[in-house]
Amino acid sequence: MTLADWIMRTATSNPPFGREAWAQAMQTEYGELADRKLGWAIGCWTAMLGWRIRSEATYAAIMIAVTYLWTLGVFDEPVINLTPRELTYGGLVQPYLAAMLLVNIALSAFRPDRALATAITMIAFSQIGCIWDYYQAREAFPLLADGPIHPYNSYYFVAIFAQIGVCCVGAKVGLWLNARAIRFLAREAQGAPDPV
Amino acid sequence: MAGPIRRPSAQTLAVLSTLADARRQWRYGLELAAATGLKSGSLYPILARLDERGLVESKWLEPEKPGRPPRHAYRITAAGRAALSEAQLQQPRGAQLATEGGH
Repeated sequence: MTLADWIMRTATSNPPFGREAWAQAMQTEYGELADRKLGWAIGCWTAMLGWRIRSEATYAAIMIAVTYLWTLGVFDEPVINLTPRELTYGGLVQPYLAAMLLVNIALSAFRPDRALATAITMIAFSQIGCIWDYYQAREAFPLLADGPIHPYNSYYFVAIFAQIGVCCVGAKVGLWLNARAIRFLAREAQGAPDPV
Repeated sequence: MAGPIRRPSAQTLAVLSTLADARRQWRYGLELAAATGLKSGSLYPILARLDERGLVESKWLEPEKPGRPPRHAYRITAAGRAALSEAQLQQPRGAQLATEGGH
């Protein structure tokens, strides 16, 4: 394998979302070249890099904003203002779960190739928030430290399962919406009437 | 609501002109690169943008030589011709204004 072959393979083997056909187009033209292959391969690699940066920037910005809100943002209150029950019940607050569901639906519909990664990241960051709250609660209310599962801290387990469920349902609904949108656009492109 | 379309760059106009010269013929990426002098790193982002805006259409054509994979080919659309004509009409006026501004 030459250097040009390696660069071309690197550029086109894992194209950014929505650029698969363009990667294939570049690859087939590369196959037709008799000389100056290295220049063509470097150009393709540069084009792919530009597409990848643009494609990832939006997703990355949304993920950073959302994970910030999850762990540090709108749902946090000073621990001293809360009762132990409110604190431990925090992970089940309805707006929190509703926001989690909507964000997962939107992101999975926007980037279906990242649906699983989005759900896992959301679950992970929400658990970081939960664990952080739990340790704050233990310091503020030593009663919580009495046993491994206390009537108060058992709410955490409910919250964890609720959050995992919400993220999984959100990812699934987002994927369904994306598939439906693609089918609708394909029908529109063919000029056929929508049977729904 | 769609915003105003930005004036195409010289490279974009070169691609559109080459495709317009080919009339209704399909052109491959390599042919366009040779005709316009653009490198693949500039050509493909331009083609992708033109394709997304409906100024160019693309299609996988069966290979001329057996055993080769299908090749992606491009052709200008009516909207592409209109955009090219508009840009070519604006270009001399823009160039004239630039010359006047330079004095």
